[in-house]
Amino acid sequence: MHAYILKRCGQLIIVLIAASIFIFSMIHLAPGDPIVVLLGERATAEQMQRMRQAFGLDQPLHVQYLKFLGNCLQGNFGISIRHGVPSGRLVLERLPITLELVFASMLIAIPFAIFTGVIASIRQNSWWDFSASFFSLFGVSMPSFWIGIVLIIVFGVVLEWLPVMGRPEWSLWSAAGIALTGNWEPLGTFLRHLFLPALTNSLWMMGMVTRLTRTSMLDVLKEEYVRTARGKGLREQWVITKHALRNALIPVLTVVAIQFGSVLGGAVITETVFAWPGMGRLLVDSVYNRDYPVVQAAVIICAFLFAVVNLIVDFLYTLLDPRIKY
Amino acid sequence: MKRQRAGHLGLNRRDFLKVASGSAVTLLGISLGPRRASAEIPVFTAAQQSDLRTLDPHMHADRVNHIVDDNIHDPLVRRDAKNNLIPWLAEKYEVVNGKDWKFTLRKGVKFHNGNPFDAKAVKFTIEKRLKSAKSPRSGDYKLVNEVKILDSHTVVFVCEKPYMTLPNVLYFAPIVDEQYCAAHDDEFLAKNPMGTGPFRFVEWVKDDRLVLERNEAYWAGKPDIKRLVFKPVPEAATRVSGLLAGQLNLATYIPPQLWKSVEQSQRVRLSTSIGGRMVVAVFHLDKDVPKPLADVRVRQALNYAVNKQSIVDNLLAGKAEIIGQPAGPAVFGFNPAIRPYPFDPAKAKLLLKEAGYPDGFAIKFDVAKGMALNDIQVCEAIVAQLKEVGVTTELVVNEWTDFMSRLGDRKTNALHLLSWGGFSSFDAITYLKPLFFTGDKYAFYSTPETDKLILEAEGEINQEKRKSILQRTMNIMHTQCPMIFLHVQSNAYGVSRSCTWEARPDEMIPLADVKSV
Repeated sequence: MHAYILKRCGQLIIVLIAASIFIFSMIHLAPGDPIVVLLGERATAEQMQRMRQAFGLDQPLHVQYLKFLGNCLQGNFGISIRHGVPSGRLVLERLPITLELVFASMLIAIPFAIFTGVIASIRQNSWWDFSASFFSLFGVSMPSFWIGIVLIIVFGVVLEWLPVMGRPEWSLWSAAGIALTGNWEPLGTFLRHLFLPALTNSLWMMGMVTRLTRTSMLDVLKEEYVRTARGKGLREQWVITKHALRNALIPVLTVVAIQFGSVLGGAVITETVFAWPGMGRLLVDSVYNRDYPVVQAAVIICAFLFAVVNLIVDFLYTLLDPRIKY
Repeated sequence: MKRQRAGHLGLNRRDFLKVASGSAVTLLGISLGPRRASAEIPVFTAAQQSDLRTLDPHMHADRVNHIVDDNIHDPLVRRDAKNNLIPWLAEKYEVVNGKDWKFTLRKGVKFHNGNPFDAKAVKFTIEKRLKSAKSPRSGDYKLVNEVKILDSHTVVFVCEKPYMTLPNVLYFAPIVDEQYCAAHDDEFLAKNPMGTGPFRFVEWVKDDRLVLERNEAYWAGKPDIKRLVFKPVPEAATRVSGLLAGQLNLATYIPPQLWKSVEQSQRVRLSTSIGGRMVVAVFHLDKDVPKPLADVRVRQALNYAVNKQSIVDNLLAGKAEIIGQPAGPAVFGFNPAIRPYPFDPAKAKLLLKEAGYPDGFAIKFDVAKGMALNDIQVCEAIVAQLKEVGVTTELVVNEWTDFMSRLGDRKTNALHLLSWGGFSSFDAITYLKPLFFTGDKYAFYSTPETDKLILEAEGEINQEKRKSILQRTMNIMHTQCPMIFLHVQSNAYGVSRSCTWEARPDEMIPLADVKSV
């Protein structure tokens, strides 16, 4: 096990270096000068040149990259061109806000999708199955931007049930802490603000996981050991949940781990639509403004997070299938 | 028994006494109870399309920042609702010595921390903050050599030469407290503003909210709004939804396709104004000018070929002002005698034929997404209309940052869409000089004659003579057509029906005077 962890850590370092080279090249080769955006129309050529020198943007690209890499190893992602503060700090301040959205999305998507997929598989070719297929297709086909706007109009403007934008002043954890004292209002307000963006962000994963669960369950339900379990007289519920589902979940878990990256990426659009002040919005603004240090920091931190999530999922396999050992 | 009516008034005694006593109360102002003040507004939430970069009022050149600064700070001079420049922290100002500006400052004004506003604050603000190399607006103060203090409430801006638009520029020069700035570093000042304005800073959570609270001791009268929140909401549909759902009281930059939704609402209304932001299609007439465009008849032809009224009616809901010169009617120096080029494709074809292009020609047309209201659609309409007269235009849609970088490097195509607000100065010199003076960054057309006129206008103190020079220059521009003159676009906002705010020509949003309806 320790050897496996060390091996994965080694792989992680290689992945992060590769990600850093990729994102550094992409963002620096994209046309557009961040100093033009930063200083505006009235800045003089001297001011612009001075600013470029201050941020090291007048150096050759390979020199800039080596300096960036050296700083990264010390935990320094550079100073944000637009905001003038350490870019790592900016990203890490926003990351928990995005993770609130991402985990809420997954909390909505995964149980619902697994339940729907299981029902669709055991009621194959029924209305349950067709509905699940339609829903799955809808979820993966409809752009989250459009879904978000529709949900805002229906639930926020017409019905006035839920807020249409923003995040309350408490974090999820402080609201939960306040709830423990008996005051549920902050937590209720927080969840009401979180629901629509989380639902929007979950639909793609919901559609994908529903379909995959159904397919995986159909494969597993044909296996001999399932027939044996039924033959032994076990209740159908037991056969489905303890025997079939557990094995069917292995590929589902793999996809969920991979799709974590998509959900994290999807948060970029959802945060813009719902004015949710997370890392996604910061990233969009930074790309538009060519704020290289922030883009680089955000991508590297996301790559790290993605690798950690996949490592956790690898360990979860051992719970689902005791035969798997590292 | 029938009631007796009193004389020719048709009233009996009882009715008469009722009316008379009521009239006395009204006429004499006799109070019959506590005087009802205008209702306090506990929270007012305004949404802008992007967040602030900094709360330091001198270290940015962004409109969204100016809007917020205007509520925390005060300038020496500001614009009123009718767009007139009025003294504000100054009580009066005048030109002295033929080129300098003397400001008599208002007494009894304090910063939010209790420090007094005085001449030293003005000197510090201009010399150490706005003229500093770190400020992106330092170019506006190049002509100001120093700020001389005559006494605690009188200063003279000593200028290198006449600088008639200095008051216009000073609207965007919030005065700050020298002691406060000296006691803190730049990083602190970027997050903790200190002004004399109607609202004081409470907190700023980036990309989420900026919270201000009422300055109870504001020298111009405390606002009715107790708590003012600015929220950055990038998506226009979300801003409008927030208005319609009652989560917002005001939202900026409502695109034309959403105007109807706002107008039809019971809760909110649309407020628009025509300001100083003109939209034009600029011809590249400096080096490497495409041969057809070098001929003024071709440029005039393209102005005749574009149906500006149709663009305004169909793409801008009729809310824009068509222009025939490089400035709008609200700008000092605008020439009211100049009529916009009418839509006349027959004349356009004739001019093209005379210039030697009976079959037209081909050019490329750059547009940057976000340049103007319905920018892509406006350009597509222009492309279609130019095609009718034989000019094949390839529209190239660019991303904003990429386009602005290429524009600064003069690497754009033969034609590009530009929206230009003249830095909200409402003076023609801030349209003519940056766009038509030889060597200026965005100038793609200039002549020795227009350069001379621009310099003359800059140096003229007499406003009537200045106006005449500027109008003459406008006339030359109209005839020479260095651009396709399109329109001055609207500033469109959604605002609660329960409050009195109206859109302003200068695109600013001062909220101190907002009242409940």
